[in-house]
Amino acid sequence: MASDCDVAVIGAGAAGVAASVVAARSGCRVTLIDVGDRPGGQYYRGADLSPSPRAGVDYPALAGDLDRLVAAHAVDYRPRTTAYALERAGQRLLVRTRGDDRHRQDVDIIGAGTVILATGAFDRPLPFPGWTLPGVMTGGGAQSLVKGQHVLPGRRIVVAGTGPFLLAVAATLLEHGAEVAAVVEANDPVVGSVRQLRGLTSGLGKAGDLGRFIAALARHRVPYLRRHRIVEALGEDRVTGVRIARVDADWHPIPGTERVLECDAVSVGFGFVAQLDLAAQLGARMIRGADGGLAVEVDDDQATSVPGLLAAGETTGIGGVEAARVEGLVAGATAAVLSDHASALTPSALERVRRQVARWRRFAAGLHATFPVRDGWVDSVREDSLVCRCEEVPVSRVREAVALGARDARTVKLLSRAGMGWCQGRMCAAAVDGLCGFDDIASLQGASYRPVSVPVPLGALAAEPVEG
Amino acid sequence: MNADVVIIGAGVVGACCARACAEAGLSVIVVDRGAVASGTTGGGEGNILVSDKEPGPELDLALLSRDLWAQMAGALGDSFELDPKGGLVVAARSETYEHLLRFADEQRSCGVIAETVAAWDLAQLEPRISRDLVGGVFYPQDMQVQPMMAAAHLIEAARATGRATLMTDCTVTGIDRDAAGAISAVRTSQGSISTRHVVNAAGTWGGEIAALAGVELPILPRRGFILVTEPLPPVVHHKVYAADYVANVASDNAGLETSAVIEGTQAGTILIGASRERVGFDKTLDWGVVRRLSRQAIEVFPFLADVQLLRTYGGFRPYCPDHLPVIGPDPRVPGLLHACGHEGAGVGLAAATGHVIAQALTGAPLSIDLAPFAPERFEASHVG
Ligand SMILES: Cc1cc2nc3c(=O)[nH]c(=O)nc-3n(C[C@H](O)[C@H](O)[C@H](O)COP(=O)(O)OP(=O)(O)OC[C@H]3O[C@@H](n4cnc5c(N)ncnc54)[C@H](O)[C@@H]3O)c2cc1C
Ligand SMILES: Cc1cc2nc3c(=O)[nH]c(=O)nc-3n(C[C@H](O)[C@H](O)[C@H](O)COP(=O)(O)OP(=O)(O)OC[C@H]3O[C@@H](n4cnc5c(N)ncnc54)[C@H](O)[C@@H]3O)c2cc1C
Repeated sequence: MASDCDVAVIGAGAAGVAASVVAARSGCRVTLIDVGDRPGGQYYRGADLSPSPRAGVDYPALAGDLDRLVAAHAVDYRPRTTAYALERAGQRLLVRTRGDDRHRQDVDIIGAGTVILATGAFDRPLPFPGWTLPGVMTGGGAQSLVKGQHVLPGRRIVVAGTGPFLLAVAATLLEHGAEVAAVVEANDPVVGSVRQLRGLTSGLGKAGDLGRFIAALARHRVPYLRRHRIVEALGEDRVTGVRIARVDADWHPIPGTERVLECDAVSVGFGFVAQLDLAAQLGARMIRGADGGLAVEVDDDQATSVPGLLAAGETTGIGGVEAARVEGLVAGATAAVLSDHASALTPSALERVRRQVARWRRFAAGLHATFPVRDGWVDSVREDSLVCRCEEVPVSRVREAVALGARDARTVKLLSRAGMGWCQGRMCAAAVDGLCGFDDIASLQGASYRPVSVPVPLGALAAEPVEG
Repeated sequence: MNADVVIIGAGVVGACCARACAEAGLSVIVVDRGAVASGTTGGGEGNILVSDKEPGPELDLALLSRDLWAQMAGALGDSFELDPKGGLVVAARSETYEHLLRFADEQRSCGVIAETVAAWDLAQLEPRISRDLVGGVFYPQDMQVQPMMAAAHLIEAARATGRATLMTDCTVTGIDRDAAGAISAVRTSQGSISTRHVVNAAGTWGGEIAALAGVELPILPRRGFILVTEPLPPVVHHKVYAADYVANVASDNAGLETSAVIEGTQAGTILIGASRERVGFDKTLDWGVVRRLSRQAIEVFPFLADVQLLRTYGGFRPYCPDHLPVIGPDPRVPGLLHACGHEGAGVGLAAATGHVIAQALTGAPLSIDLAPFAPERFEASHVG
């Protein structure tokens, strides 16, 4: 049951695919582990993308390469598989995985000289009254419904929160035939820094992307309501509308500006949170990414502070799909060298890619400066608004925990149960920090330490072979 | 700043001391370098057990403590989920069962209620229990609390008297003594506090506090992990554990020892704990421990094989070489009292510990003889 490889890549998004291809092309034995049933990750999975027959380092070319490498058994690709833990065993790292059927005990332990963490990110929701009504979902949730299952979340949809991904989600919904009632953006990107944005994006494909989304919105006459925020979702058994308000620069609603938009679905997103469990399990050093969220620290080779552990893509800071791809290329090259193989990327190609990494990171920093999350969202929550949906913990219990002496997110969890449930705090950590005014990195880290990333049947664990 | 007594540590033991002292009329400052329950109290379970204790001073303390816990819960409402659910100790082999029955007999003579349960009656108490067990003993006095909530609400109750203050993020850096050697002040990261009395309730770090006062206390960490399952409808009704547990607690073996105690919580999760290892302060999860705990739990409750492990947590129990806590005045430093080193029973023993610490501070007659818990018992010259 236990298996072995030179390089284990966790996550088959743009970063993981790029890393796997470079490492395998360099002669490494690669195992690629991914939750999804096909490669592509958050951005490309479900996309109708014909893998390119030609060589190159754009995503379609890499996806084509991956298909061929998998067919040639140069990459052991394991879809529908989740890495639930990472552990050190002497010089090697062990990746513990489970399959997607909880009734089958398909667990494995994969030994690897180098592990590349490319687990991406998940949506960062923030609570508001009514956010738990059926029909209210995250941007990622809406996107995967539409792209993955070809189901529209509703007929008339409000897209709200902050960030350029609101535009991406709206464009996807429009493409699939939904009506988008409005895009409600809490920041003001146009007044703020459209020039700065354009400066950053000149010469990058991303600007083209944004332009395409904006054109789609204009074509469908979708209002782009900047400096607006949802203050309440309305409805009894499911969402029937949202109350929105104009907000000031800190997101405090401006009295007298409230109005109701009718809709039957809402997609909300306030940026993303990097998926760092596995790095935290090994004690990798963390930093704050450009968006203020936690990220794993990497050097120019994508190496973390843990020997043998590399990271690429959103795990090193939310940066978008292009940053993920080029970081994956670098990580693949580093993994090759660590496994004593000559890298398939020539030194000059690698140099070029490194420059792209730096450029995309600058671009991301510009975006984050334009679309920050501001404190004013706290104004609209009520004492009985749920913060933690898994354990049904309302705002009042979180505040009570602080009154009882909690000074960090972990203690709030112990005293209120916020973050103790199924998602282990992924959905509520940002909200708890915002409500309690916790801002230090130690609190973020304490709350994001998860020794078991995803649930695993006890029977599978009991049956594990004894190693060593 | 000044107070009649400074309590170092806002874990469950410090919290019980704070409430008892404030109720006794003393002015109290509780200091902790972290938040409430940020030490071992936030990393353990809340079993209040008499079932696992052999006759002796710890059992006497445990019996007193469980009654005091029940009283505190009555006084403070349902703020910390006290559940007098009772414990069921089971045996998988007949030799173990005989041992267990003898052990229960000895416990009965000390005031423990222990009801023998025949194999065919086990399912009446626990319908999903393994059919392969040879029998068990039911201990109705065993209870549980949610220890972090208990610590937080007991400190809150102390504050409600108007005589207690809590200082979090406040690290003790020194303890001052006067010309006669008696306590005069506690130095902290938030300033100096004048006081004549210090209660060392720093748990696993109690040895460090003792050293600041100039005395030695041999307290070491003993790591433990707990497995938490996905939430289920109520299926495990008592605390259930296998009889080998009793042997493990007193063991001197430095290696891994586990014996799964299985219990349901109000939130629906099932807790399986806990392991015991002496490996210093390394908190990295040991998957060998997870495997063993899972196996043991499934042996007792076979349905658990299909239940998912959701998360794990753990902490470092404070233990002394003789596995007894250190409670009471330290004759080496006038004004210094200890309330630490409770190992795997700090929650259970906290109520009685706070009670006798307040008695010692106010000169009231002690409810229990503190000689077995004396701080100076580890000194080479000490003859006990
Ligand atoms: C709604 C939406 C719209 C977006 N629009 C744009 C856009 O227009 N332009 C843009 O640049 N970016 C966009 N993004 C962001 C883009 O998707 C990411 O930047 C990109 O996917 C990052 O790639 P990655 O490889 O780092 O991670 P991901 O693509 O997230 O891939 C990570 C993969 O790892 C898997 N995984 C995670 N944990 C584990 C585990 N423990 N075991 C096994 N597998 C695991 C995941 O299932 C996933 O397949 C959008 C994102 C969303 C949600
Ligand atoms: C896995 C596991 C399971 C357990 N299960 C049970 C059980 O079921 N039943 C039971 O009774 N017990 C159990 N225990 C044991 C129990 O948790 C401990 O005995 C108990 O929590 C100890 O409480 P305490 O208040 O003495 O220490 P702690 O909770 O550790 O409190 C000590 C406090 O002192 C503070 N401190 C330390 N140094 C300083 C300083 N210099 N300045 C200021 N503050 C300082 C710390 O921050 C800490 O908060 C378990 C333990 C573990 C690890």
